[in-house]
Amino acid sequence: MRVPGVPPSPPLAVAAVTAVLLHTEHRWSCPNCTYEDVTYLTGPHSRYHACAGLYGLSVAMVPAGTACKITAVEREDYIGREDVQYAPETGRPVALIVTTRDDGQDCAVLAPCATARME
Amino acid sequence: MAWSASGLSRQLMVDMFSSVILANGTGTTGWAGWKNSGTPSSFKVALYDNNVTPSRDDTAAAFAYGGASWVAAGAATGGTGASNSQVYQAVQWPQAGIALATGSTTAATGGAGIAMFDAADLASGTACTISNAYGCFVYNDSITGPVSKQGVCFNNFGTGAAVTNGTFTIQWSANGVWRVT
Repeated sequence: MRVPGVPPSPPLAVAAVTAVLLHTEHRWSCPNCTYEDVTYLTGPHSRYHACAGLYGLSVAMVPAGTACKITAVEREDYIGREDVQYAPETGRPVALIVTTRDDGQDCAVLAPCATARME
Repeated sequence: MAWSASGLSRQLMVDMFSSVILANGTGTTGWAGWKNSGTPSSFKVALYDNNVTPSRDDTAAAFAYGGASWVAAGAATGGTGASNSQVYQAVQWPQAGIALATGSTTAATGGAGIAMFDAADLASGTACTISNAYGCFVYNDSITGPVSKQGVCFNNFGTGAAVTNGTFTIQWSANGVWRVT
């Protein structure tokens, strides 16, 4: 109902919304080998590869252009009957893979399997 | 007072075979299928420094998160004393640990007489700073009884792992988080 003395409301307009289609391209590289990869996922994610430059270990890649070094830390504890993880190419037990960047350090632990015997 | 090996809880095996814990049950004693089916239990992984003394022969009460062997007390930088053993950082790898995202119990292929539990690798937030993580404790966060948050196993990293403003990742063995052979 129109109220006398009150100006009419402006007509409703359809809001113009600009949809931004993000093309998320992530380029990955490894400082120890020549392997490169590209992913298109939008959420946080990482990329692993079997690194030819690090004894064939499964190593996380870094965003291309990142200044860093990636090293494997050999397991120094007594192994005994521990079901530890080994470097595929050397057969040596590996405890950690450490990525040292200019602004920090990542670490991947190669956890041994906890075991029990039914015998 | 230190890590020396990885191990699976002996009391857990006894409890499951004697139906103190119902592996496919519901309610306070139900472990609900180890994530295989139905509404799975929530398993968490907490980090510990070298002041703990893990033992697979602990009682169920001691082999639980918050129990005598796996105290909840800790410090963000880790390694500050025997009664202050958990290593964590709020949000990044919080106190009480991170939940296993996926996992399943299987009869492992490639080997006869093997039962194993495997899960997806675990990662912290990308700005994590912790040190002196010598191992992890895997426990059931869902149950409240007969022992609350009873543990499953502990995995010895073999050295003190650390990250600075980075990502802390646990890559489980191809043989699983635990296995019985």
